Amino acid sequence: MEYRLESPVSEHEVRRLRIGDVVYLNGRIIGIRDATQRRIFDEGVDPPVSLENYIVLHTAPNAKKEGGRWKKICIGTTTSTRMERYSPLLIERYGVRGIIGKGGLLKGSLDAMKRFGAVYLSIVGGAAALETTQIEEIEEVYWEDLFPECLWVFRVRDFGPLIVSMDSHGNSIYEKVTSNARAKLAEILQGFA
Amino acid sequence: MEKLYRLIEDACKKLYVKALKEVPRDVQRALERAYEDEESEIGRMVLGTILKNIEVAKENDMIVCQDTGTPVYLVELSGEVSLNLKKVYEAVYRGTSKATREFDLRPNMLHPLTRELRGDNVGRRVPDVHFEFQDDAEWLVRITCVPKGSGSENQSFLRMLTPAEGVSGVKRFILESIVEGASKACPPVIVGVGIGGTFDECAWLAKKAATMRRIDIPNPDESLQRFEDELLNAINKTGIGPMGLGGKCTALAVNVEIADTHISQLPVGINLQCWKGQRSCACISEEFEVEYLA
Repeated sequence: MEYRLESPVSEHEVRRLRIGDVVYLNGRIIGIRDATQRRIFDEGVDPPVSLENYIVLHTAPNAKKEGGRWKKICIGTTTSTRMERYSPLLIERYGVRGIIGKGGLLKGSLDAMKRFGAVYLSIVGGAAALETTQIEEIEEVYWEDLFPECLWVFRVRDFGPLIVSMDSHGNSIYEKVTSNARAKLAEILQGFA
Repeated sequence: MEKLYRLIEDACKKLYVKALKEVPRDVQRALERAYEDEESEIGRMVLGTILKNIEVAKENDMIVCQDTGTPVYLVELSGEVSLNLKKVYEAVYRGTSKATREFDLRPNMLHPLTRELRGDNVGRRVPDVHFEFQDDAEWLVRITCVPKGSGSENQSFLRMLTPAEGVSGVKRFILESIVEGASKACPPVIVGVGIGGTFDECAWLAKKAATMRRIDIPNPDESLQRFEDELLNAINKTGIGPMGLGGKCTALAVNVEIADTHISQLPVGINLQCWKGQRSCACISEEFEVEYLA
């Protein structure tokens, strides 16, 4: 199924999504990364804007501040797996409904997605030029001292394709692909011998 | 000779930006083939988006991926040139810093513990510059630039195997590493393998194999070429697929580089390069002309 959603999203909309679905987003999404989440969770500083029902993007953009406004240069997506430690808390404590990234998240996040109603959306990693053209504007930037790992508010149009790879029903494409690969590995290694 | 250092500085500046904006021709062709061959629906969507992105970057004169990488350079010198390597290093350093500032490239390089950012992608032991030497070259100096993205660099593996583990142990380690790491490295990846040498030498060989070799030229060593083909075939049976979402094409190529090693050692290093295969190269001729390769 293909969906067009407007961020922020409701729990109901998120619960409808199943792994393998494709999503295009409109509206506002929030950019965060390693350092942003170290500040929130390790230093205990609440985010300067509400994240409730928002979809967040794992990013550290190429951007430039000109005359008080931030101008986009190239905005892409980073590997999420590094930030697994923070992700269940982001969902539970701050009500985040979706995380856009690449490489996937692990069991702890999948459990939180099921309990609280959230999804993981895979973007095509490295396709940053395209991604940048789908970001209409950098609306707000908080925690500029963390540049490029600030907290960014983007307005997006037809942002995607995003593949639902972890849903709120306990399913993960990454888990399936990895367990299949491990099973095949045994077969392949036998073939070598 | 002073002119040559200036040419090197200028070339390094251009190469850094060129590597970020363009996809090498051999890699582009391999991606197009992967798109045609891919059987998974999601895999085809991913590869189609990758190809579209390369076009969008070209049309808008943008960098292809946001990760401006760790600047890594290979400077090769022919037997016909004598240069002060300290001055060459300084030229590469200045070129990298200028490219970062003039083109507003994202600053990535920071102190590993304090996480303090310097801002122009140079610093303590950065850029990473390797020197190698070649006889009978048609150029005086050849420079290859690889801005190495962290997504793929974080999926690097090194193990000091025992000689008893042998060739089958090497293959097992490579495949286990792929199953562990490839999905996080923006596949389809280029797999670089360094075998032999020392702890550090096999890591460098893996990096060189993953990032600096063209993927459309077979390994001149036939037995290594067979080894590469066998591994590529095996990796593409794992089903990890484009962006790790399942499919046929997990790797575009496997490149292996070897060095002789100690009788009681069998080091193996694995370095992955993302689908973009970012790499740019320039040759400086005897007449001091700079030629940029596609």
